[in-house]
Amino acid sequence: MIEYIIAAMFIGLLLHGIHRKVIARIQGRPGPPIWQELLHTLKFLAKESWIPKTASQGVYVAVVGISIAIWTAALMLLITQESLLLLFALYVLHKIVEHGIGLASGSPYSKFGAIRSVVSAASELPLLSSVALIYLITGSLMLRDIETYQAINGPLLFVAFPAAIALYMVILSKIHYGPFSIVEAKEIVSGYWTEHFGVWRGLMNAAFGLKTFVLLYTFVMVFIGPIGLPLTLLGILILMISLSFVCAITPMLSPYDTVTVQTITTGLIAIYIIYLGVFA
Amino acid sequence: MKKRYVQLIAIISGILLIILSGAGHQAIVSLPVAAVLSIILAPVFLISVGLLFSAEITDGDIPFMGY
Repeated sequence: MIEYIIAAMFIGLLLHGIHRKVIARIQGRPGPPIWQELLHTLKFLAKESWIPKTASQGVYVAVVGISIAIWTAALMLLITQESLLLLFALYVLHKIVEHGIGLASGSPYSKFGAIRSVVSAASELPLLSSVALIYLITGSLMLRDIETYQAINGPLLFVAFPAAIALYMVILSKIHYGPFSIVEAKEIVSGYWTEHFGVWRGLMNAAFGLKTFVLLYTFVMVFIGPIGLPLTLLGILILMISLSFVCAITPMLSPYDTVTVQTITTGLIAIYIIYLGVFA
Repeated sequence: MKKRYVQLIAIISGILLIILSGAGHQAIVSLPVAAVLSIILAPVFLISVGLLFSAEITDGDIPFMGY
């Protein structure tokens, strides 16, 4: 199990590096090397670490552990091919991390990040509609059943295309430098994790690498199906590059616009679900 | 926090994680049980290893209070 966790963190951090590289190339910059995020993480681990006096010490440290635990649990759900609904629950639990990190410290920047995290709860709406549509089509939310369905009927990507768009938007809202990344926008320094530095920042970085890998792996698993490890990794890479393209060419939206776009997407998918339920 | 305690936590949790992984693969422990225990142990292991990394640059103990 630990080997999966370490490998997923490693790949996730490498994907973050690729993300930065692709964005830089599109914007006409050379960009950092793709292993930059791995180096960042190691650098932070070797930095002097303490807890700011103005922070709530318990929460400040606990959220780091919670963050690792949440995304480890999500990875385990994928490995054991359990319920997509549990994955949804873990994704929602990630809000605790964003709130906790932001509110635990005394910094106004991270508090702003935490408040924006409440606003960006709208990013869960497309996920809800995506899960609902998948259930309506496959008749199950167990990942192993969804994979079996795809092995027989072909990838869900074509049948449940709106659900794929919804999940894509969910991933986009959690990716760095994305149009919906209002919780870590540059005008509030690094947003909710501004005050986490040293080993805490390094571990958060590793946990977020794990998060990126899990979300992309989920997308490939749910919408492409069982295609073997090499093709799955290729699918994850292509997905990451496509996300980088979107991030490179779109500005960061304001909190109001972010919620509006996410709510409209959910509304459109809800209409599609009603159409499927009533007419199909 | 004393560096020795952190070392002890890192070693114990690391060994337990390796044993769990092996036991899970060999079906000595069921996969869900191994997964749940790994979820609990992984943060403990990673945080203690991280603190050990950062303790390398200080005189030993891990400082917990700052400015």
